[in-house]
Amino acid sequence: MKKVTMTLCMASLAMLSSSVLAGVRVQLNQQAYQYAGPVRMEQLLAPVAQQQNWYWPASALYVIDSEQPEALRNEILQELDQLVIELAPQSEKAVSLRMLRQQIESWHLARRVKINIHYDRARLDPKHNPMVTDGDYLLKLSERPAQIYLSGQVFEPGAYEFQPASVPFNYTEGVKTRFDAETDYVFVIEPSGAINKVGIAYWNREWQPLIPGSQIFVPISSSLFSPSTQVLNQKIAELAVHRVLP
Amino acid sequence: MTVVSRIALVICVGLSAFAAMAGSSESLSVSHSQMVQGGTGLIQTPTARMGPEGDFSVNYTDNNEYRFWSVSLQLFDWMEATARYTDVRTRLYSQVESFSGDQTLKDKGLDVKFRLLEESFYLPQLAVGFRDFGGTGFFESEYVSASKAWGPVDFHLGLGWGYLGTHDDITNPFCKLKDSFCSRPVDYSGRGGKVDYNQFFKGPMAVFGGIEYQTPWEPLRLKLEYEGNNYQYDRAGELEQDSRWNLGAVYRWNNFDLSLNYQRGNTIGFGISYRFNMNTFSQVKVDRPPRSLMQSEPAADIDTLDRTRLYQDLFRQGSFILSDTDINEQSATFYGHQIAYRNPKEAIERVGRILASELPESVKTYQVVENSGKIPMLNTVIDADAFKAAARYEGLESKLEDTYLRVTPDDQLVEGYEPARQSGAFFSTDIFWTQTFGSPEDFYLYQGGLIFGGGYSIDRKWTVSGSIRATVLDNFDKFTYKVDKEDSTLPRVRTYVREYVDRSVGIDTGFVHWADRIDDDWYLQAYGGYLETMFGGVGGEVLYRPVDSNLAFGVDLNFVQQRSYENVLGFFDYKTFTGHASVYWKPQWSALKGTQISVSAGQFLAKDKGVNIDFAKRFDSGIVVGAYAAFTNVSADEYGEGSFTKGFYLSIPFDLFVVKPAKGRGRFPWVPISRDGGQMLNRPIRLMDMTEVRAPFYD
Repeated sequence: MKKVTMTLCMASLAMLSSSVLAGVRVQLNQQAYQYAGPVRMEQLLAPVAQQQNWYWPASALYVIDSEQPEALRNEILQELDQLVIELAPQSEKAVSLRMLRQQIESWHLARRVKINIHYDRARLDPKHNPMVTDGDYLLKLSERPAQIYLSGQVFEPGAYEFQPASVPFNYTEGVKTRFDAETDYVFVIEPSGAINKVGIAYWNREWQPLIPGSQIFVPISSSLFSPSTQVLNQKIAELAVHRVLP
Repeated sequence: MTVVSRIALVICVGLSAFAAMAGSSESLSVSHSQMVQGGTGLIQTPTARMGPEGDFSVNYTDNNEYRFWSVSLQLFDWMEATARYTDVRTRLYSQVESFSGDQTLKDKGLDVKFRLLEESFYLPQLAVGFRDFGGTGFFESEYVSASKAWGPVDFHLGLGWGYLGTHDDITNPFCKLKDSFCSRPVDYSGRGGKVDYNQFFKGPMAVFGGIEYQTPWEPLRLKLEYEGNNYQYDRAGELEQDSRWNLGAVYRWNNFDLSLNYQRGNTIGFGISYRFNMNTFSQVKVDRPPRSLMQSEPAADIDTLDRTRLYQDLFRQGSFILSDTDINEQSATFYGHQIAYRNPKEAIERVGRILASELPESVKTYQVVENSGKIPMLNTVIDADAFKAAARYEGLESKLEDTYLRVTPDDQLVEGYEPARQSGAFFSTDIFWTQTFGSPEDFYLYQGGLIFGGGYSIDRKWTVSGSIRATVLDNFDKFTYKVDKEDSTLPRVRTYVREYVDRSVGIDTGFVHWADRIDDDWYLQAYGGYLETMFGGVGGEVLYRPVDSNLAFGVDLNFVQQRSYENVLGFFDYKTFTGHASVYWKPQWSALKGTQISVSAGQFLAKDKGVNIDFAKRFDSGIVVGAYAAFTNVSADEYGEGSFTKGFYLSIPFDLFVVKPAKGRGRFPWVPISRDGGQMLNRPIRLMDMTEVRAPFYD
């Protein structure tokens, strides 16, 4: 008994020391950076800020060592399984939900930190220059994306070419949606992590232009009588915020 | 006849302050507008459409025989309420010239509309509505309406009963189920002012509907309407209807909607609406940003702390009036009250940042104690290190709100409160504005002036205070009578009101007051003297209100005597006990977001027993809209016109009208008819108001 506690103690000590010693480790695109202690955002960006013409609205910071998105994914997958169990295995609906499950399973996830990243703003305004505390991070910077990412109840999810001044409806109109796709609205996940519910049908169409790098999640069709599906759709949209996009 | 509304000096900043409402240019669909009688609709008929929560419209329309003044409010996203005054230009107020002169007939009305179903791909939006349901309504009707959009076109179809259904197009389906639904009862119950459920959905029924079209030119919308009313039984007399089709156009200019229409194939009408949203409404502020801690240089220890600078900054930059402090190496306590920042989060952020920039690092806890009167009400305990870290953005997602706790001041803290100045005089000046609509003498009667208040604090618990009211401006000389001619069986506790207000200077209040905290979350007060314009006496109140709780309850008990209107200080013979047990509740359901329901049961001024229910809804801008009604053991006939006491009020933060942050509110009551039953004593001080900071509803 004593021995076990001893080893546990040592193990936790080891973990503690490793995390203390680790400082801040950041995977910035293909490059790894390591800092002995907490650093300001500005310092993190300084080495690379002028290297390329970064499109700051599409930049994103993720915490790698967080269980949170994985827990949400499991919750969603379980709910989807629950829905499928009640259906005939080969029914169109069951097939459609299984395809959705596959999509969500394949998502590369990490906990998205909801802050705006911008080198100039970080230098000028302390509010946009927060301290990055000890931990493992993934910082994604990119030039202006040329894609929009479609997911959910569509036959071919994935990256689509970004059309200037396009709206969600232009994309849902142009692809084949599954039979149980929601006809009235989609969720748009902006590169900043903001979620918007946008109307796409003949009666409520909104002409709100998309930001390049946005995701469009086409939800499962729901109605007043299926509030649980509405909740599930919302959860999937929230999970999509944590996607690490290629 | 009514009550006082106090207005700040500043209302006139007015219209320009209303942030322009951006029409959603991201959609081609019709942005909805008001109908002739007020409320979202076409021209004469309502639709199932509703505005976003908090949308408020003030409307005037002219339609030859009728003129309408109305206000319409989207109280919740599922409920719209409209209040309206109608001027019937072809009829006189009364046939007695000495009573109402040549004034034309006026009537007031209330409408509500509830959303039953939201629009979706195959289904329309559905709503059910009740127009002018107050009993004597000229336009009383019920309807069910459906609306379906297709791009820039919006289609509407409705079924109406009552005024909206007099064309009798189809047989009332309820008539087949029950005979009583075949004809509509014509009389009203009680003495008007009651909801006549027994008329609902009865009698003839007609179809109405129409089309709204958003033209490619953004400000212009067109309307085409098919009516269900045949104008045979109008209050203005039988009106000729050449066509059931009406045409209209609405032009939007900033926050104004200008409308023009052609009704019944023979009448031109026009109108103007001003609208804003009570949730999104905001005011530009000229203010320094909260103090930055990035380069702060706090004192090395408490001996070198520059107390004078700290106290002055707390006042000048934090608007926090200090009355006592207690500072040691580990913790610092500041007693006082906030006078400008109405949002508690902003107030504590500003005060906290000033403290953190001056107090030495060794002080790990700041306690900011908010007083009311001279009683410590709320303690905000700030974890200094966490606060400073969050203020310096030393974490990716750290928030200031997570670094402090709002708790009730404990005994030790209350005992530690020893303000240097416990006694002293205080003065105040307020503006008052009393108004009443729809009186026989003139549609609009008003009285305005100043209330001079003052008093003396004897110690922390005892005060003597009073107020004098001086009228500066009024048209009450138009009064043709002072007391109505009704045979009232109830004691006249409120209907002498015209006698009281018809004097140029009067003593409003003059009383001795005692208040204290008796335990954690428990408060007690007692008072005696001239308590309000019409009553004097003694009373007390106890209240239980935990910090940030959505529930509070209290009991008040008063023995009062009616004040004389014949002389300033005297009393009439009428005496009574009055008091109520009250529960104050803020429901947490999303459908009732931002509401407070207060229920008070007990004995009222006229010795009638019953319950008063007050329902208040707070919008994000801080504007509060409320309604109350009293139901007592007085029958509608004994009560007189209106059948029971009911009223509405609007409470507006001054902060919305000034460019500097400000606390305080103006309250604008609207009491359709006020009589003697179900009347509560206007207590000079309410513990709910005194303890507001503990669980704020208003701010």
